[in-house]
Parts: sequence; structure tokens; C-alpha cells
Amino acid sequence: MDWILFSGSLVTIAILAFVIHRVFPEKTLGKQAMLDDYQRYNPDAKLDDAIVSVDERSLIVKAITASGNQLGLVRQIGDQLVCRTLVEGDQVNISAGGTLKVSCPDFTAPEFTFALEADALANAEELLVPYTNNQEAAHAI
Amino acid sequence: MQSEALASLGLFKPTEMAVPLFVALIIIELIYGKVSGKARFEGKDTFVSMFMGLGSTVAGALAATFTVVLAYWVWENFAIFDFGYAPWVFLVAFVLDDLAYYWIHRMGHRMRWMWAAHVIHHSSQHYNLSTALRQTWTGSITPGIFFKWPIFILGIEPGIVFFCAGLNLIYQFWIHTEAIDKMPRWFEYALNTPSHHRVHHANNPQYLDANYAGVFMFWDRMFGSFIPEQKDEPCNYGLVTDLGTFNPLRVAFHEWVGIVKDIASAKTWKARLMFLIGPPGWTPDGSRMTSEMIRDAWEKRQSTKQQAAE
Ligand SMILES: [Zn+2]
Ligand SMILES: [Zn+2]
Repeated sequence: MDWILFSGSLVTIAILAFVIHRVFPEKTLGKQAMLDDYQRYNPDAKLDDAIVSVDERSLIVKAITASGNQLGLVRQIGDQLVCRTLVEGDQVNISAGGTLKVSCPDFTAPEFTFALEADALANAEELLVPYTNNQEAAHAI
Repeated sequence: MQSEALASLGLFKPTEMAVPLFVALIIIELIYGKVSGKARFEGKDTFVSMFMGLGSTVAGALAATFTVVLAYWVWENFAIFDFGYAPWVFLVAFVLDDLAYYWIHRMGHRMRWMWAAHVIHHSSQHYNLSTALRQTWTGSITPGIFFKWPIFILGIEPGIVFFCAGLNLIYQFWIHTEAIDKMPRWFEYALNTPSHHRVHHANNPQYLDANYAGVFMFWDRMFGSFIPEQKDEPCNYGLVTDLGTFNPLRVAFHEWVGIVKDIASAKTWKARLMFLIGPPGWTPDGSRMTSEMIRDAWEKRQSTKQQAAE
């Protein structure tokens, strides 16, 4: 293997990525974009209460479906949105500093982090009750 | 043994020689995108795409000893004819390699074992020239390596086929763009284009499992997998379940990890086998969705909407 060629390529890639980062600065997409993306992800659901994080890059939404209520999670990484629906078995952790962390048993979406205002945190906790009850040990304030 | 003609041909690696051209075209597309708004990039996404491309050349080089030796072994022991190295042999090899590519690609979407390798190429939510470089690291540990054996058995030397495969990959670079709308009609009919390949990368339910072609579009038309891009249905790029990470290792191996986890927790041998050779999204209890299930659900929603409108 030609390590000089490899290192040179890696440096070129890093420089190009840095230039792109400057040329196309990241925008926060916001609540409506996150709701729209979750609706695309879970098209059969009727979306109800939505809680948005302080930085407007994460969202929790109650999703009502024929088979019962679900909880949708959306997070912006880079300029793209990642959606998941909370299912039984997901680890729900709520930290003391007003930050809610939801870890899915999923290799590519390890954690959804939500910094929330006090009211929103209380609402989010309420929405998460069915999941935290399933995970007695995981719910720790 | 490998002929001398092909030994020298082996030194000429078309994809590696094209790398400076790829980088130059990416820079042109990003300037054009900034000016016109017709191409969108994101730093971390481009970094991952290009890093995956670099990793893919390393993985390819590591696997080459195994795949090339195996291919030559098949050709030397089982070739029916000896076609030699006439120009027409290269042409025939290009067409047959493209046909083999079609089926590798189609199975790459329909068999989870092969999808575990191919999913990398579809893991970006962007569609620009850098997406073309987002290539697999694990293609040589899938059944995909067997699909070109019939060409070797027919009597075309593997070196010619690998050379054609390189040209095929170079062709596919330029079609990864939103900057080009449609090519002339005859071109759209015969060859793979940005428009056709956008559909292939889209996760809209009505676009799933379509347009597997490498170069010639007639394979899709012939085998019933052609879906044209609709003006009123813009493509939404990426996986049905988007990746939540830019970590290249997680991007490269996430589906393999998923397969191992599923097989480990499966209760029957049938389920274990299906987690490997069944379609992506298959589960014994239907708790996840395959592309057929997604399309069926979409069709149901459409007819419900239509009934409600009437
Ligand atoms: Zn594909
Ligand atoms: Zn592609």
C-alpha cells in the first residue's frame, strides 16, 4: 500500500470538506421541517403534540396511529434530518440539567439529545412515561 | 497464467487514473451549485462520501488477490472458448459486464447480505458528484463475486472484464448530479442518466427498487425495473431509515452489525437464513418493512385518498 498516496488523498478530502463547509454553511431547519420529515418517515401517523429543543435541532412528537400511540424523534445532524420512532426496549434517560437523552438500540442513531426548557421537559417526561415504565432501571433523574 | 497483454493492461487502472478528474468535476459542481442553487453539498457528508471512496480502493486492493486469483482460476479451468484480445471482445465484454452489473446491483437491493455491502452507496441524503464516490468496503465478501463467472466461463479473460468494470464505474460518476435535468430523448432511452439514477437513489415509496442499470438502460426496460422520474414527485434521497451518524466505520458496517444481531437473536434456522438472503427489512413477524411493504402501504394510502376525493 502506498501510504503517501493515501495520506495525500486524505488531506485533499479534508481540505475539500472544509471548503464545502465554508461555502455551504449549515442552517437550522426548524420545527416545521422536522415535522414534515417525520410525517414522511411515518406517513400513516397523525401528528399531535410536538416539543422542540432549545436549539431547534431536535423534536419529540406524539404520533397517533391505528395500532396505538407512538413517539417520534427527529434530530438534525449536519444539514440533514434523522427520524426514529420510539419502540419498546429503547433506553430512555433524562438527565438533571434539562437535557433529555434517548438512546435507541440502533447502530447508527446512538443517541437523540434534547436540551429543553423546564416546561417542555415536564411535557416530554409525560410523553415518555409509557417507555420509561418499561425501562424502570433506565429512568434516572 | 495471466497473459502478458493483460498483465500490462492490469497496470492500467481506469478508476484510479480518473481520480483527479473526479475531484475537478466535484469542485466545478460545487461552484455551479453555489451560484445556481442547483447542487447542494454539506462538508461532513462530502467528507464521508470521499473517505468511503478512499477506503473502498484500499479494501479493493486488499481483496484483489483473492478475487482476481479466483477469477483467473475459473477462466483457466472452465473457459469454453478462447476469444483472445480483439477490439470486439472488449465491446462484448463491456456489454456482458454491464449485464452482470445489473444483476449484482439488483440483488444488492434484494438480498440483505449483498445490501449490507451496497447500502453504503445509498446512505447519503445528498445527491451530488461526491455521492458517486461513496462506495462499499465489503463487496468482495458477498455472493456478488460469482455474477461475472459466466463471462469468464464463456472465454473472456478476467482482466478484460475488470478493465470494462472500471470504465463502467467511471461512466457512473457523472450521473450523480442534480445539476443536469434531462439528456436528449435518445440518450435517456438508451443510457443511464442523472434523471434515471436520481430515481434509483430516491427513497420515495413509488421510486423504490428501480433503475439498477450501470450504463445501458435497456436492462431495466427488459427486466421490468424501469421507473421514469416524475416532475411532480421530486426525489428524496437516502435510506428508508436514515443514518444517524457521520462516523465512517458505522457507515461502512452498520448493516453487517444489524445482520449479526438479528441472526444471533433469531429463534429458527429459517429466520437465520432469511436474515441473510431475504430482502432488507424482512423479519419473521413483519415488524419491519421491506420495500414491497412500503410500496403496498403507499398504494393503499393513494387509493384511500382517491376514494375520499371522489
Ligand atoms: Zn443501488
Ligand atoms: Zn449511485
